[in-house]
Amino acid sequence: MILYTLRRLLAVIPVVFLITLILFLLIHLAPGDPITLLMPEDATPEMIEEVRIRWGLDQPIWVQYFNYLSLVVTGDLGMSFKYGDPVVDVIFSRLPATAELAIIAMIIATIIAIPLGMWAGAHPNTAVDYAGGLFGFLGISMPSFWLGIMLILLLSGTLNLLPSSGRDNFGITDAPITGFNVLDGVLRLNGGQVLDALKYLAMPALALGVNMAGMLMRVTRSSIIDVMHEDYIRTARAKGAPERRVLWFHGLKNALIPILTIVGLELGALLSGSVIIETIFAWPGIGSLLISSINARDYPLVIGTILVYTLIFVVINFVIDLLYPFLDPRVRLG
Amino acid sequence: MSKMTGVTYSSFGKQLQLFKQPKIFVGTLIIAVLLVGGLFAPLIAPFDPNKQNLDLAMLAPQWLSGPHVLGTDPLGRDVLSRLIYGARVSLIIGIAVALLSGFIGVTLGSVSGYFSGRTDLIIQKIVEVMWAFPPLLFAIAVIAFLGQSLVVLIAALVLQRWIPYCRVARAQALSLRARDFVEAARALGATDGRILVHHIVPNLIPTSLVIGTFAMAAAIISEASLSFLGLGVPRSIPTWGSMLSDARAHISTSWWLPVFPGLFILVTVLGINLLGDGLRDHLDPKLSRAGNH
Repeated sequence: MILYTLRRLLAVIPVVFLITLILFLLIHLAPGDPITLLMPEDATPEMIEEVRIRWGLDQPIWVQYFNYLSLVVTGDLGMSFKYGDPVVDVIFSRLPATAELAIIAMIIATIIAIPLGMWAGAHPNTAVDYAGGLFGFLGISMPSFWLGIMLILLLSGTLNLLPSSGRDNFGITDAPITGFNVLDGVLRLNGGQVLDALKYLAMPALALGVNMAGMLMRVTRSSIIDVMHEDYIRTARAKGAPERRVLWFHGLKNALIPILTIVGLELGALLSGSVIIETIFAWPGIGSLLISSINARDYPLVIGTILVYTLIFVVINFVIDLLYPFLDPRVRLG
Repeated sequence: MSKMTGVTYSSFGKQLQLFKQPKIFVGTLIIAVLLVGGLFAPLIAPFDPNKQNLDLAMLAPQWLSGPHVLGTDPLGRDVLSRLIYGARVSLIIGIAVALLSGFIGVTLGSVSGYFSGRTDLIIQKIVEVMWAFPPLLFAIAVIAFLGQSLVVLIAALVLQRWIPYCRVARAQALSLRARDFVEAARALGATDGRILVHHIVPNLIPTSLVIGTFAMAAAIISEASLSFLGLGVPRSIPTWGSMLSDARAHISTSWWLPVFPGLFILVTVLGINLLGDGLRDHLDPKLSRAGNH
């Protein structure tokens, strides 16, 4: 297990370096002098000089890359022009909002998709299966940002049930404990805060989770159909295990590997989706931060946000790779 | 001669059989209607999509009782006409991205699988790195730095979309190169290039078509998302994504502005996904587990 972890880790490190290289090259491919990208428009000559030295812009390009890399490795992503703070601080102050939204979206998608997929897969070619199939198709085809707008139109507009934007903290002015509003409310034993946080989360999380729910439902269905034909399922039935246990224990356990693979892939789409969903719902996470920093031409913040997003995705896939051996002992040999 | 006609006829008949599958039939129908609408937009659209008329601003849908079937926007432009013209951008980008990434992905994938060794290693490293970026974010980064244009947009999407083709083409080429007919061609003195072009690639086409439908659907959603964020094609061209973006300010007053562009995106993507799913069932039910996003 330790060897497997180390080997996966060794495979990830060059990928991370190449990601930084690609982002670095993008800055240099941009039309015009990179210095104009990396400076606010009203930069003083001293500031220009500082950036020139910091990025080593008078040196050969590979020296520049290693300068940039050594700064990134120490967690120094430069200063945001717009906020006047280090890029890392700006991003970390908004990261919990994005993480909370993504986690709730994933939970909603899983709660809807797995039972639906299991149900459809256990009764292939019945009305239940066709209804599930329609849900799956609509789920993968739905533009999540349109669903978000439709939810606002219906639930905030017509029915006036839920707030359409922001992420209220229930008038609580104490410093956040974890930064996750729901969790903070639980830790403070403040039911009102939990409820309030969930109200703000409901619509963006549902919109963000819909594509994942569709994909997850389809994969759960097809892998449960495959699994239910296996010999060990027949054995479980033969020894008299009730059908419910056969499906939900023996069946689901063995269907989990393709499901996990799709969760990993779909989390990338979920992270991308958070950019657009956060923009619609004015959710104060790093997705809306990315778009506002592009509009403000705050390029150090743009690069920093994209780098952080990509690293999160790399870490998620690394963790998922580590989970495989627990689900399927055969992986350990491979 | 008669024999040849017979063969053509029967294979044509076989192709027709495909359309008896409801998924393929419905999917093809939706795409065909959109293609015709997009191609003949100037003839079909009742109004010039960019013609403003402030006297007729914000009209609710008149359905069949007036000229503005689906209403007008705050500048008095006809919503239905803009939707029909919007199909052009979506389809051009969807088809261009699917074809270009298919060409790159199948070429690199078959070379990677056929030759293995160092070529394979390098190509697979590129695949791994490009796949490490969350899908839309890479396109956002490219557009943020290189500026907005149709070419940059298509390039930004292609840079990631070739990966699924490449992965599948590589796996298939790996198994194909050990097959008897490839061995036979090699024994007859065929060069590697000839084997790739004449024996490997033709066998990769059916699977690539399936991947192509999903690539097209993904490209259309990505284009709409980017246009919605103001990072898509220039503003003067009507697109479904930018129409949705414009509609955001009027959600509470004019429901038709956000509803119709989204419905068009949903139905288009649904049609393409149905076609892709139907083709996949037809080709090989086992394929349904190949990851795509």
